[in-house]
Amino acid sequence: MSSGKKIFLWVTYYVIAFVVSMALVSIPDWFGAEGGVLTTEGQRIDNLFWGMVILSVAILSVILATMTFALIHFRAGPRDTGDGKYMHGNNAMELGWIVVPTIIVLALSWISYEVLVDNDQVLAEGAGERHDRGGVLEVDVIGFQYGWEFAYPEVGVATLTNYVIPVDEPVVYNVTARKYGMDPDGGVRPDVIHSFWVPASRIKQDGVPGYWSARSWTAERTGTFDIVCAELCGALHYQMLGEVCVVERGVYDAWLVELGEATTDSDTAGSVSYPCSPEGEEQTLAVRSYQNDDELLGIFTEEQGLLLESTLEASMPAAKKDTSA
Amino acid sequence: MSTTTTSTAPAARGAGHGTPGPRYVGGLIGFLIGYAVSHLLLRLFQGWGGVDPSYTVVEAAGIGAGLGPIIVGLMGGVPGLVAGLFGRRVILGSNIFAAWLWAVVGFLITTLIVIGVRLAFGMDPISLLPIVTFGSLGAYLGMTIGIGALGPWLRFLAGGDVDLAGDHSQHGAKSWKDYFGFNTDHKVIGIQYIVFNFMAMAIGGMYALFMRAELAQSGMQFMDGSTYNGAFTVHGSVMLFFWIIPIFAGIGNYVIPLMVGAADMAFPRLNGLSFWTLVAAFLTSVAAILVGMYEAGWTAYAPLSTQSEIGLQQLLFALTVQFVGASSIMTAVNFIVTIVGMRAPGMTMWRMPLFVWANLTTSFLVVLGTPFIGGAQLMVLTDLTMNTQFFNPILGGDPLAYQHVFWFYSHPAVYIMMLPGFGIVSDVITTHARKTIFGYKALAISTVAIGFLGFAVWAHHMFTSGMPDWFRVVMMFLTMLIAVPTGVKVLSWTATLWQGRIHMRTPMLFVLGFLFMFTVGGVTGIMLAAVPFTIHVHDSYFVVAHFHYVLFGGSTMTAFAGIYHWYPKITGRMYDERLGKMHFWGLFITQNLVFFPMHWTGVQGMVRRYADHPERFDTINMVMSIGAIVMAAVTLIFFYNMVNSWRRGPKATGNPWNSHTLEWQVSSPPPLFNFYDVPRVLDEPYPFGAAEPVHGVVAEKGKRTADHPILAGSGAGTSQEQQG
Repeated sequence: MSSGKKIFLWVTYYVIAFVVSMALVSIPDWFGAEGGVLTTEGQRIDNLFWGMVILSVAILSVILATMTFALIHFRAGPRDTGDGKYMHGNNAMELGWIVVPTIIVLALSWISYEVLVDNDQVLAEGAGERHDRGGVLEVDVIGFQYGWEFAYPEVGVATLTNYVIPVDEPVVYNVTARKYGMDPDGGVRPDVIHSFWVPASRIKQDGVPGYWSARSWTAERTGTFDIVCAELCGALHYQMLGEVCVVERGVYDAWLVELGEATTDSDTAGSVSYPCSPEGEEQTLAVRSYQNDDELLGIFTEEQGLLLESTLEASMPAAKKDTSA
Repeated sequence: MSTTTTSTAPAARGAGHGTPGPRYVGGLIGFLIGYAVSHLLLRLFQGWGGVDPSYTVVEAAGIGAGLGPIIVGLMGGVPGLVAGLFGRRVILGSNIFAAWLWAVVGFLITTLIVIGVRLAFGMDPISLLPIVTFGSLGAYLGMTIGIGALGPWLRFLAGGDVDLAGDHSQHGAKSWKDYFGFNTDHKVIGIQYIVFNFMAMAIGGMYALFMRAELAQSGMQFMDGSTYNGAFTVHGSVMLFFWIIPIFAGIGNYVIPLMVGAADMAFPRLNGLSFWTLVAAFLTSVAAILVGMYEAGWTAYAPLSTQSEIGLQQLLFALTVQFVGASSIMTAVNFIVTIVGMRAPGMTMWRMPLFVWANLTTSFLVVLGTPFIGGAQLMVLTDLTMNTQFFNPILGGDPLAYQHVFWFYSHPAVYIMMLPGFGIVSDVITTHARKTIFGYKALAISTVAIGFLGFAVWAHHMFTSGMPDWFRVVMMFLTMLIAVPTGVKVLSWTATLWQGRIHMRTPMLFVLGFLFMFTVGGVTGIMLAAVPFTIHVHDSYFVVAHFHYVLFGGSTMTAFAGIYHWYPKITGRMYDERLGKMHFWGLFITQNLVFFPMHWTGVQGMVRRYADHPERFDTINMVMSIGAIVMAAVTLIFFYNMVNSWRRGPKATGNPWNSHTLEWQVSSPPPLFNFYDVPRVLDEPYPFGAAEPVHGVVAEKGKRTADHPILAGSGAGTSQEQQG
């Protein structure tokens, strides 16, 4: 076989492998969950993902094309006891497949770095400290066994399980986990690591007891989106679900006023209306007072314990209630 | 038969031939004592540990309450029965019954010591966690003495006249029973490892099936959250600690000394001890399952693993890790010394088969890395038992510290799980494509390069943990760079196929399947190195898909390739090619069916380690669960093929694949000490297609290597030796 024909055949196999693989990876709807990506930042991540998928298929096709070629043209016959061509390698080729992949991965790292920088723009532009980010809306996200608290430092109140944000506005999330938890006998023990993930936003951040970590994203449309815990946190890990409710600015402002008036006493639970309640159903969110103070995360009063027990289930979206049985 | 047994043999024989009546009475008494002691121990665990008995795995599997204690009782009762029946022959012999009995004795003695010490210092005498910690060490010591691993060492320590180096009394297997006792023959140990590992794989796979059954539909089917957490933790740790890592130690144990032309490993007794340490680790792990599954994930992140609710199980998990680590390090040291110091004359570093290169690099990773997981778990252990607060955020401990120490081992560990497989791929692909490996030196050096880079990328498992950005970016660049040596390997293997004469035998099919699966796992690895994307899919099913592509599609496929490739050498018989191909195609199709959709569900927001999922994932999860069941059925074909071929397969010649490396130049299975004379290596390991394709020469039975026609008169051997 002439080398020209070999190259032609190889290229043919490559094109077939590429087209078939591309068709296969295009079958699933990668981005469609919950009506597609929610955030500006997430859109960049989806673009990066799709770019990497195409690159991956291109790389995989090199292996597939070469394997196909070899398996078709270099198969031994049933009684063939001979050996293949005696050769030890090809320095030019080996250098090539060191240099080219290095360039590819460095370029990919650089592109990823750019996306990372773009996505952290809001954080970089703020003054950098928690609760001092130049007027950007901040929500403190506090994970605990087993639920989420979302604190609005402006008004000093925290909601349980679900929270509300305005559309088209960057929100900074300061994520942590409670230091103190409660064991089944009512004693105090350390709480554990949780991870705050809204899949539709494409952003997640671990909440580590004792650490505050910040992420930010901008929701681009209204609606409700799932919150899950992405770090194994114990027996009811799978029930650490919640919902983010994205509403118009006006609705949010009214809701925040109501939230600010819901409770002032750190030991008592209050409640506030939930703007994303399903039609014909008035849901409320349990709230408690949230002093803007690290130490408070450690205080775990009996009332707040009761608050968890009694309201966790009530404030859970209806569809998820039956899973707790 | 061991030296210990030899010394007590006359008395033991007397006991064994007693009249039937008293023997049966003795057996009954032994059974009752054993049963009662085990029951007391179980009650001690469950009662004092405050563990809810409903957590036990037996009940989790739905077999029914009350069966767990009976099983535990039988674990003591059966050895008691055997001891009662056969008396001193068992109690003082080197066998698994003695090992089990002395383990219990060791546990009880240490428990009494702990209680005594606590009384002496005025503490509450009975405290479960210290008792279990020290009791496990006592049990381990008792077990190793009982199995006969320490006998000569102890007599040497006591000043006895023992020839440690020349002692071959426990070498080689004469009957199948010898595989259940202590042995110093690397071939016996290799088989012990491999069989043990396949048993562990079956158990780990069973837990995967439990998980797939639960996940087949949304909503909770038959597990609660704890049980599900336990299922994936047991699945993960059993598969990693008792399957992927040791299967390569097993294959390496059998093959490496043969490949380098040595009579055995450098430290045969240590080699046996490291296998039995792995068994001790497994039993510790099983004990944890019986008192309530450990359920903090195989990563056992603190402070979840140090929470008191799962204290006892997690303590046993920490001890399991210590034993596994000790076993790994012992084996690795043995490999390093064997490979560096015991190669046949003429085998320069550049003439070593690539499996040897891979094992050498892996062994260095094990020796350098394993202390870190041991350290991380030791800190968990002291947090649980000694009131240290390494990871307790309330008292100033740092939960992130655990992750850093843990991943500093556990990232190199993924190469510990993969590099030996790379070595197998190199050996198999060159043999069955009948062509010299493409870029031998590039393959060897890239192995070492992966080993080095592997230590510099641990924090890519922690991209969402809240580390500073500069650190994440550094880790991203370094992680991406690992793609380069890995790419060199994949491309070199593919290029090896070019202009070869490819025989599509089962090992080759597994290697070709590996090339596809591993490339997919590799490119998703590159994706996961990109920080912004990982921020989205970290701890989602995308990650589960990625590491099953590299650990199942990668490591496990290479392990199967290695098993099929060396099956004739190990058993002396040929496996059934038709069943082998069925096994491959079944496994290849089902694993893509099970693991590929996980990429999609992960990107869509399905969380890893959730016992439940939203309804929108129902259909695809049902498909994956059905795939998993078929996969399990396909694996049964493999087991049938292995067992049946060993008994009835056609006899294998010494060199069925017409290969050139040293292990194929001897009979199948090899003689007791591998070679009749020290072999001599003359040239490259894979001289397929060369004018005079000779890697090395070995002596015929009763002859010397120098008498070999290639060496005799030519004088080639001496000049080559100097290069070594």
